[in-house]
Amino acid sequence: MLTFPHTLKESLQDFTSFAESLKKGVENLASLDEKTTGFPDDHDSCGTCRNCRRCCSDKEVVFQDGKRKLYRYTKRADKICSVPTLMVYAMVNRYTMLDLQPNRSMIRNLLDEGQDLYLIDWGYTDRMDRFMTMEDYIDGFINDCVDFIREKHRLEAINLLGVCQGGTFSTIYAALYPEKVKNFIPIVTPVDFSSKDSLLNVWATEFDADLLIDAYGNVPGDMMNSAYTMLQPFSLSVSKYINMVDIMKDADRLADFLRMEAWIFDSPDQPGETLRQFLKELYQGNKLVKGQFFLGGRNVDLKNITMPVLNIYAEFDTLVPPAATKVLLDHIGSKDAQEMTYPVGHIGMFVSGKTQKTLAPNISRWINARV
Amino acid sequence: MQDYFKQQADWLKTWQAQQESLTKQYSGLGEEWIKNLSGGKVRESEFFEGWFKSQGDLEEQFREFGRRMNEMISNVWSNKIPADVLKFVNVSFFEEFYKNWLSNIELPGGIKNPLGIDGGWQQATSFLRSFMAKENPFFSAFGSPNITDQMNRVFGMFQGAMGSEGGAFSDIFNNYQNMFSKCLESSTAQGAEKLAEGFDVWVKEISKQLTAPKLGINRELAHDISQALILSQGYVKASSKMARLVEETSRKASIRFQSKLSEAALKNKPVNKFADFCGLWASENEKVFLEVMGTQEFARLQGDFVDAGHRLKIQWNKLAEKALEPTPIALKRDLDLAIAEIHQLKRDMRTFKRELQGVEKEARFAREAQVAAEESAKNAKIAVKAAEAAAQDELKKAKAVVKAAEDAAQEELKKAKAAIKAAEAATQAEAKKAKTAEAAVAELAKQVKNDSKTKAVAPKAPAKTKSKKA
Repeated sequence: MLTFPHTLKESLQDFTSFAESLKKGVENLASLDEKTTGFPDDHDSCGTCRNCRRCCSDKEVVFQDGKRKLYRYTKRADKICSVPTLMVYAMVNRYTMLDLQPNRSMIRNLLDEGQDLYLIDWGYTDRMDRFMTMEDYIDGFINDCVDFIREKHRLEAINLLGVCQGGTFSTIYAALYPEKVKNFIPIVTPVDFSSKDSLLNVWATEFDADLLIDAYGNVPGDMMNSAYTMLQPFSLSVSKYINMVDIMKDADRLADFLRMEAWIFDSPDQPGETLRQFLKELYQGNKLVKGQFFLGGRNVDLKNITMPVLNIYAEFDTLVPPAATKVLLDHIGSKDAQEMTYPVGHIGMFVSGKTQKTLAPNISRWINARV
Repeated sequence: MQDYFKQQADWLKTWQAQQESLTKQYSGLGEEWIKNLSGGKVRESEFFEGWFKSQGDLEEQFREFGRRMNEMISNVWSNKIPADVLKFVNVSFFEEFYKNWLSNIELPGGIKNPLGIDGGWQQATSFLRSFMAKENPFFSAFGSPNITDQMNRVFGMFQGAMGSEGGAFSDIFNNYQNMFSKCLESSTAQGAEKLAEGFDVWVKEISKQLTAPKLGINRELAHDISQALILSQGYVKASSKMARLVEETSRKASIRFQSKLSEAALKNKPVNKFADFCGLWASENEKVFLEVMGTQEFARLQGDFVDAGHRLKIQWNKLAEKALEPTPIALKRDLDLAIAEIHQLKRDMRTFKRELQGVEKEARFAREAQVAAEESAKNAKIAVKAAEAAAQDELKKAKAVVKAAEDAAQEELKKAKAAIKAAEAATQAEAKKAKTAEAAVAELAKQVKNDSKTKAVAPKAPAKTKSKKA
């Protein structure tokens, strides 16, 4: 209990300083412009993202199938790695997380390290994607992209880097087409869904995935976001916005915060049939590590992954806990397999200051030693 | 927009000035109270009258502050970030915090704090209710727009089709709509439970209607509707179970939060900063909630709740489809079929494309092999020609060598012949000489013989001389 009147003045002063922060924050909000936030007012954007956010690294579309695009990034170093790397991001959020802003961009850092980068943009799912299966995405578009790059560079195999769900897709791809993958780098990639360290894994076992897909068709991105928010319900929906008042005082931090918020809520809907497969076969059946997962009639045997593998995971990841990703090395056939860990969370892997200076150089060094 | 911000910033300045004056006023009141304790003249009742008045002013200030902030954020962000972000931003926390903070102030002389224990966030359920009311996801995922909108649409359609004269269906629809609306308005477990009870009674009524239908009722439609009712009932029951768990957990979390607050106050470190207060509230709640949410029991309840909502939604989709059947509007299932067909065609196309690529690849290999063979034949011809030329050259060289050798041999032969001739000539000459010598010898011998015959006649000495000559 507070005692009257000793803490009264102190508390009111706290409020006053809080209001002072808010005042400054409002002034900062008033002075926000496209340059600082990346949200152009005139909607003259690159057309990549729903919220008109400009990405920080230059790229061009080199291959396209409907709304799905393959980008190639403009080189930023003199000496370029002879084997290009294809990056496959998850479908649950946008790849822009990898290229959020100049000082928080894994892509930019890799380009600076001399990597030749390609990236798959899945686009925004709509009704036409309702019946797209994992086979369509993995055996279809990923394979088409890999072939395109191989042909362009006249190479037998290229490097493959997968992130989160994109990492799972890449793992399946690498097991089906090992001859086309020179080096494989999964980052925060779930492969074993039995771990109880993630609430998602616990919850996923107790609901009917068929009902979900039959009810919604494509599952709304907002619904997926709600599930992620519920992993830390009070931190992500209360504390974050209280702390924001402190952030608002600083125009740069405010712009960073807004960019991150825009990314978080820029969630495409999930294609129904793909999500059905992902939930039933992987989250509920955990068939990938059991060797029981089939794609297009072919058994996905992780032992077929014989190329060098660098498995990177985040120590404090609540979405893909280390237990869900670490086991990959136990199931693959590679003799040259390493793991790398960072003391960060799922998203922190790509945007935290801790990883900005080390993640890309480490990946680059590992690749360069194997091409 | 810039003017708007300027206006807001000016307002904030005024607000701050008011805060400072209120702070002074409070401090003044505090001092007055202390004076009172030491035998001053002002009566307690008068003092608290002023105190509560100021308190009311302050509360009003905070309410206004929260309202202004919400308005400002909405104005600033609505064209910058998605609406989804905005719905999370709710600065009415200020007001809640203020109430809570005041309710925590222990008044002197055992006077009851008028704000009491029920104010603000201490009652976590009230917060959660506002949490849900703000359309926060998860709790409201099945609550508002999707299901209700669809229901309203479907019922509206049915009602329109039935006409205005009423009848059993109109009654059913109206009642149903009203009950479900009530259910959705209520966000507490108690409300949901009451509604579930109401449902039980109502479903029985419906069953009666269906077993003895009035003339003109479409039995199939009636069956579908009754299915929807049963599913709705299931959904309400599941949500009430879920809400009960959330309420229980909130209560636990609230107790824990309050004990943490007291603990801090007892340690003489009262949580009297807004950010700290919110931080503690959020972290303590999160700990309790996550503990519950990590259990299989919670997962099961949540699964039941979610599944019930989905079953209901599927049924409504089905009803909507049926309602649309007589119209020329394309049905969802028709579109789905078309989309699925397009996908299958795309898949087939991909397979054909790959086969084509395979064939093209083989053809390319064959073409390349042919070109390579032609090239190699051409190269072989050139090589043969070159070899022949080289052989001719070598032959020429060999012939020249042979001729040179022959010439040399001839020369040597000639030389040899000449040498032989010379030798023969020399030999002949020598032979001649020898013959001559022989003849001379013979002559000498003859002479000797003759001399020996004449020896007796001639002295011995000249004979000796001859011998020497010989």
